[in-house]
Parts: sequence; structure tokens; C-alpha cells
Amino acid sequence: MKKIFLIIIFSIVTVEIYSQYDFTTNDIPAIPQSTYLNPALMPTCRVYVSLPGLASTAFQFGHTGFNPYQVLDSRNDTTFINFNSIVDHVAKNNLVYYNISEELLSFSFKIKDKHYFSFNITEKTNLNFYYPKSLMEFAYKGNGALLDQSITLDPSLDFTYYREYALGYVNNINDKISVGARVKLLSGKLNVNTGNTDIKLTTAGEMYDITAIGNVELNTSIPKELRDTNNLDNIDSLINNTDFLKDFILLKNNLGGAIDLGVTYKPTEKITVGLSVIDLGFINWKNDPLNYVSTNENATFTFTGIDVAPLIAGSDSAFDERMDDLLDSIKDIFDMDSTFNSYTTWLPTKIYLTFKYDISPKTSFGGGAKLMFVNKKIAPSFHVYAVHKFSHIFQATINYSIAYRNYSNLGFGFALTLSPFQFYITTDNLLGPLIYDEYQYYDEEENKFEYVNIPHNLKFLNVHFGFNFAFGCKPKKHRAPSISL
Amino acid sequence: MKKTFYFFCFLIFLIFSTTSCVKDEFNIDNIATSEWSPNVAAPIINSNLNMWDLMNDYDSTEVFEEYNTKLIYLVYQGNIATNTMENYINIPSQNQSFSQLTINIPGGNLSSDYEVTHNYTFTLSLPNGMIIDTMVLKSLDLSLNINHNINYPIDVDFSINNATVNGSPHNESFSVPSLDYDYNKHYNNIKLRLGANNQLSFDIKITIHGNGSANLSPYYFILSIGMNNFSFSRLFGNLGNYNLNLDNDTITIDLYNNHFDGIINWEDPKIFLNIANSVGAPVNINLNQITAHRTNPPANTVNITTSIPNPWTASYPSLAEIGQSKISYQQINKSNSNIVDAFNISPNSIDIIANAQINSNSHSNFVIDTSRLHLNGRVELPFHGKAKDFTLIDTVDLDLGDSTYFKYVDWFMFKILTNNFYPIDADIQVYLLDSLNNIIDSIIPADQRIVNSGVVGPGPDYRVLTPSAKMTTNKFEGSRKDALVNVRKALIKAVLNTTDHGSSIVKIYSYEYVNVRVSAQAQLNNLTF
Repeated sequence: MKKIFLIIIFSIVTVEIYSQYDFTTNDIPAIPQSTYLNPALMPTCRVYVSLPGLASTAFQFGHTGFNPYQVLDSRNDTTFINFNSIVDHVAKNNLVYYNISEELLSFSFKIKDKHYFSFNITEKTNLNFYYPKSLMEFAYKGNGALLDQSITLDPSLDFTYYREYALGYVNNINDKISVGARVKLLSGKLNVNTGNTDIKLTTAGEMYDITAIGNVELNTSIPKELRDTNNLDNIDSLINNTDFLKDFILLKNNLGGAIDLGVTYKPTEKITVGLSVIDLGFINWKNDPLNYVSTNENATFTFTGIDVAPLIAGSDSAFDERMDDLLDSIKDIFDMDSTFNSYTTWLPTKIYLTFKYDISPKTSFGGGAKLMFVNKKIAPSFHVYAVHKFSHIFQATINYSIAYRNYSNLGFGFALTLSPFQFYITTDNLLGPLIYDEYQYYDEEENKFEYVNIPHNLKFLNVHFGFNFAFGCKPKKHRAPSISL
Repeated sequence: MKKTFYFFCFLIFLIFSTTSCVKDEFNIDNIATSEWSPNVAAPIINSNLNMWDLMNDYDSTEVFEEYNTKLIYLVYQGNIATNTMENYINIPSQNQSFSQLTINIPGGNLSSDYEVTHNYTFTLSLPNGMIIDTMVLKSLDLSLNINHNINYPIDVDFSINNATVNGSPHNESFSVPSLDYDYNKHYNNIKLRLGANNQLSFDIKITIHGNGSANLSPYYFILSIGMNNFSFSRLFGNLGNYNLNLDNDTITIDLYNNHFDGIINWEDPKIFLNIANSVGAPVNINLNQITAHRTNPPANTVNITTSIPNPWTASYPSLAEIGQSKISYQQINKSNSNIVDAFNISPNSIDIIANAQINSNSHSNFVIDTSRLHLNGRVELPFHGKAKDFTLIDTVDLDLGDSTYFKYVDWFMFKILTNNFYPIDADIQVYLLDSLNNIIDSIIPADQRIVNSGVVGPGPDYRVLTPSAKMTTNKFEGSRKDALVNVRKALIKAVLNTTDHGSSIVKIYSYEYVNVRVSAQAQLNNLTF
């Protein structure tokens, strides 16, 4: 069991993850996890209890930069990666992300359709890696093509693995307004954060002097056992170290808190609008912190060439000394200081604005917009959807979203509730993996041409599925329809 | 309803089965490598080159600075020395056999001791008219031969008068066990005081031990003395006259090693002749010939004639200065010689032919075994003058690499920026040659001066008032670039002119330099990874 747990942990850690958005799940009111995007929502059924470890598994990965078809070229019967297209298609800032969330335990219940309480314990890992277009331009075009331009080279990274204990409450104030909040206690496990890292490079046009300006900040909170490469090389001993496992699972030094706030409003019987703020919170990392920080703020160094005077004068040793001095001065300028100070990271806060129009008691359509704030950058996304309740057993939704500079995302999901069992699965990008192009390449080992199928337009993929125990899903005939969005 | 359900189940199955299928097949390694054509630019060299750097003189053995004016000057020097005096002054072995000494023992049979004393005088035969007062010898072998007919046991006490061995009066006591007996003694530190005309006196005492045997008087006693393997550490007195050999002193003028054409008119070249003399006697230096030689074509020679005293008597240390060297020098300059003409041929070397003679003239002279004569010839060329089309040429091996790497270079470009604080224009060209010395290309565009003279102020200081900057670029592309793979050598040609094309006098100071910056840009092509 320990081994499985650790394997799960390391799988999560190594596959760079973070929860970005999950529109489709949110569109199906029968799924209790649909309320995670707006804590003012009430799901359809009266009582939910999760199947421990299986209630909600969500993973997604994505890259906002380019699609495969944009960068792959076929020439002379062979497939090439067109790096020029990569540079052309990446945005000013690009995000690579991955996330997994695994709900360990959850339950929720309604009281008289006015109050709704929920509780969940969820393991979450988030990874956001931003890189600027200028970094790709610099790598592909070279500094000679970017003379007299300030090239921003600073990628930013935030990787967080934490556990969330969330307690939610919804109050239907009246038939029109519902408000909700979810208070979260966060227990951080691992974090790597680049903080205020800022690296710029300029190559002057006249004599190509190269100026580097840099501020580097890297904060980490990783248990010392995991920093030790000897332990990582000998993973079995670490797995058998019960003290380490216990400490890691119950890690309580990195505490944080967050709150989700939401409100829904029904201006008419058929229209519902919602607004929510999710993950407004932070984690204070105190466990085994290690910080690497630039000693000199806005450290600047300009390389104007090597002083070869000693070589010309005939002293190799003096030249070596001068080179050492040059390297020492660079090291002094960009000196990094190691500290062991606790630090705080903020969760990537999201703001959702949604609306829904009920065409009929069984069919609705709606839409939403989301802004995610991460590393001082904003990632917007939009979607429209239609959801149909085929019966109280089966609900399905289909949607279209614009996210991460991708405009062909067709989402789909359904919930199958055979009370008390409920299974659901959703994805925001159904067609991405289905539509692919066939590329030819030459297999040198087989000495023949082969073919590879590569998704045509896949910038991201997410899947969310789970099993719940659901009770009271069939509405009583005299009861007013529950609020759902 | 069931149909809808089954449809969705099938759809879900299709999604994940297709997705996983694609992921299995996708392997980025199966995609062919792609082209990468970055343009890279970087500064390569940024150096302030002073005269020490340019003259390849990091350890300051050629370029010096006048501390009061900061004017710098070139120094080339050569040293010659005589051998040490112990190699010149050779004291021959001395041998003398003294006439028979007759000994009559009175009375009858001798039963007690009987003593006989005698004094001898030994005149040393020394070369070159040396009349020595004192010899301090670090090595001497003394050999005594005694021949007698005394039928009693005898002992001998032998002492050299006024001689000391390791500070004690000399004395040798020994028994004579046979009628013909040799006694040998080696000394490592013996001091001999000689009388007039190199005379050495010694005493001998013969002790005859009577044993009751028959008295057969008269007896004879013959003494022979040999003094061999003289090796002195010091000699005091009149040393006589010695000719000392001095090897030819050749002073190489490295500045002209690669000189090809043009001229530097030095305003004030100088040759210093310095003598360091540790011989305690007057030494005459005969300057037989001083010659400027040009070995680069066209070969040329100029004899330097000078009015300095010839021979020239060098200073020597007094008795109180024993062990020290006395310095004396002569300066050959434009006012006492034709040295300016000599340097106008751009000589590769200055040869000095000289010899020396010790002319000892009093008893207060001395010499120690390590005494010698040093002659230092020192050429000083203050950077004060003018240069016209002074051309230096040198060739170095240069292999720019094979076509394997060149095919990845679309074009490349050099930029050279100079900021010159020297009063010198420099037209520098680097010709790229193939293995047969055919010119393939040149690095600097033709007719482009890469270093412009600074603006020079008025005399007598002629200091540079403002530096001059010059940017030079050259781009290699196409067939011109491709031809570089055949480069095997580089011929560097530098034509130097002082301000106003060598028509104005300038001076160069230690604080002046030329800032040279070299940058390069290259368009790479078809890199794969």
C-alpha cells in the first residue's frame, strides 16, 4: 500500500500538473463536483457520498503555444519539425501546464433545498510553466537576428502539490439568489516557484556587446529526503522508511488557506447568471525551504569581448588569470545566495462568469468566461454549452470553448445515475485527439518508410471522471426544480 | 433511450481507444530532424594594447619607461664576460733541491738527542712579471724528499716562515724512517707571505735520537721541495700584465626581425657600454669595432665610429672594496658617433668586438679567483622620431577548418573597431594563403586603414591630444567564403606611419594605447539536431 501510494505521489510529482479549467463537468448539475467552479450551485441529488479514491479523478495537460499541424512539414517524403513555424505560432507568453486532482473523500447533503453542505479532501498538483516568445526567437533565430532588442528569457515556473480540506455551504436566499462559500484548509507537500525571476539579454547592434540583466529567485519546499539524490536512486529504502512516509503524508508545516465564493442570480424564471471566485488563497511554505536569490538586484553584466593583451604580450598565464577574473566578476555580479526562509505562494485564482438559459425543463444552454490569474499573468477562456436531461438517470452536455489560443474545442460529458451509483466522465476537448494527420517518416532501423498519426489540433486534453453514491436524485413531483447551472 | 446510451458508450470508447492508439504511435524520434539557421553575433576581442603588449614584452625586458617624462624606449642588450681570473692566472709548480747539508756529531757514540737547524730560501718562479706579496691558496700540494745517511732515528720539524694554515703558523713534524724518504702534504687553505722578489723562506730542525750506535760523522742531509697544484683564492701584489679575451657581443634588435620595408628615423638612439670589473687592478678596454648589421634583404653594414676614449680604462676596486665590482660606462650617441646613420639601415643586430688588458702597476693590486670583467652592451631607442612606410611582415600557420563545418555557415562578418591613442597610422592586412602560398583572400577590405593616428600636439612633447576611431567591416559569403577551406597560412602585413605619413616627429608615452575591438556575426545554415 505504501508503495502504491508513493508511486502515485511520484507520478503526480513527475508529470507536472495543474488544474486549469473543467467547463464540461460544471455543465452537468447531476454531478456534485460540478459545484467546484461555483460554490453557490447546488447539485441535483440530495445526498452524495464519494467512493473513496474514485469519486473524482481529473487530469489535464496542455500547451498554449502551437498545434502539431502548425509546426510539422512534409518534404521529400519525410516529416520535419518546422522551427520557424514554432516561432511564428507561439504567443508573447506561452503556458505549458499539467494537473491532476484526486478526491480522496467527499460528501454533501441538502437541507430542505435551502441549505447545502459539502466536504471534500482532495490531493492536487499544479504546474504552470510560462515561457516567452522571445525565448523561442532567441533560440531559433539567434541573437544576431535580434540586435538592439531586449530579449526576455525568463521562464516562470510554479509547481505545487498540496492537499485540500474543503468545507462548503450554499444558501438559497430566495428563489432568485443563491450564495455559497467554500473554505479550504491547505496542506502543502511540495513546491518549486521561480518567484521574481527576470532575465533579459540585449545584443548591441554596433559591436554586438551582450548585456545580461538578471534577477533570479527560486524558492523550493521539498522534504530533505527527496532532495537527496542517493535516496532517489535507492527508492526502495525511501519507500520502506515509514517515518518519512508518515511525515510526508501528514505534513502539516506548510499550511495555507483559501476560499471559494459564489453567487447565482435568476433575473427570470429561465435565466441564471453566476459569478464565482475560486482558489483565493495561499500556502505558506515552512517545511525544508531552500531559496536561491540573486545577491545583486538587477545585476547587469555587459560582455564586450575577451582581453587578449596578455596573449599578445606573450603571457599565457596572465591571459588565464584575466579569464579567471572575468569569470569571477560574472559570478560576483550574478551571485546567488542560498537561504532557508519560509515563503508564500498564491494559488492560481480563477474568476468565473456564467449564464444559463433554460429552453425547456430538460434542455438548457449557456456560456461562461473564465479568467485565471497565475504568476502575474492572466489566462482567459470562454465557452458555450447545451445540456440535456434525458431522464433523471442520464444527463449529457456538449460545449464549445475557446481556451489557450485554441478555437476548436468541442467538449462532451455525461452523468449516469443509477441510484445510488453515479458515474460521470467529461472532457473539454473531444475532437482534439480524434482528428489527426498521418505523417510519413523514414525508419532507419527498419529501413523503410513508416507512418505516424499525430493529432491535428490538440493543444490540450482533459478528462474528469468518477464514481459517487447519490441519493434523492429523483425530484418529488410537488417539489420545485432545484437550482442548477 | 437505450440507443442513445449505447451511442454515447461507443463514443466514449472511441475517444479513448483512438487517443491511446495515437499516443502509442507517436514518437518524436521518428520525426526527421529539422533545419535550424540561427544568426549569432558576439564580441570576441576587446583589448587595450599598450606598447608592452605590442612588442610582445609582458615581462618588461625590452620596453621601459622614463619615470619622469613617461616617454618609453626600447632596450636591447647583450652581455659578455671574461673568464674568471683563476683561468687566466696559472701559478706553475715550483721545485727546488737544496745543496747537501753536512752534519758532524761531536764525541763518540751518541746516546742522547742531538738537534740541527737550518734555514732555506726558495724563490718562486711566477709568470707575467708578477711580484706577489701574499698568496691565499685554496689548494696546494707540498712534497718533501729527504735523502741522508744518518744511522740514528731522526725526526724533522719543517715550517714555512710567515705562512699560516687555517690561521695557525705552518709546521710539519714527522719522523724519517728511512734513508730516502718522501713526505707529502695537501693544504686546502694556506696563506703564504712572500719576501722580496717572490722569495719564500722556511726553517728545518733535525732531531737525531742517539741510541748508542757508532758515530759515523760526518753525515749528509739533502732536502728537495716541490710545491704543486697551486690554486689561489686571492693574490695580492703586482699582478703583471694579462690579455683578457672578450667574446664578440651581439645585440639583437628584435624590432627589425620582421622588417620588410620603410624606415624609422630614431631621433636619439644610444648605445651604452657598461663595464663591471672586480679585478683589483687597472683594466684597459679596447673597442676594436662596433658594427650595425642588417641581415634582412637588402643586407647592409655600417661601422659605428665614435669619439669616446679608446682604449678606455675601467675603474677597479680598491683593497677596501675587495669582492666588489666597479662600474664604469661609455655612451655612444648622436653627438659622439654616427649612430643615427647606423640605425637608419634598420639593423637586425649591433656587434661589439673588444678585448681587455690588465695593467697592474703597484703592489696594492689584487685579484681573487672569481674576479672577472663583464661588458654589457645596451641599445636604447627612445620612441622619439618618425616612421615612414615601416613595413612588417610575418607568416603564421592558419587552418580555418574543413568543409564539414563551413557548409553550416552561410556567411560571416568581422567588425574591427579601433580607438587609437598612438600617433601612428596602421594599414594592416592579413592575407590568407593556401598550402602553395597563393593568396586566397584577405581579411581586411583593400585600401582600408584600420588604425588612424591620434591627433598630435606641438613639440617638444608631441603628446596625442585626441584619439582617432576607425571601424572596419568585412563580410565573407558565397564562393568567397567557400574558398576559405583551403587556407593554410596567414601572411600579416603591417605598414606603420607616424602622423602625417611619417613627416612629423612624434613621441610615444607609456600611458598611450590602442583599443582594439573585434566582433563577429555569422549566419549559420542547415544546422540539424
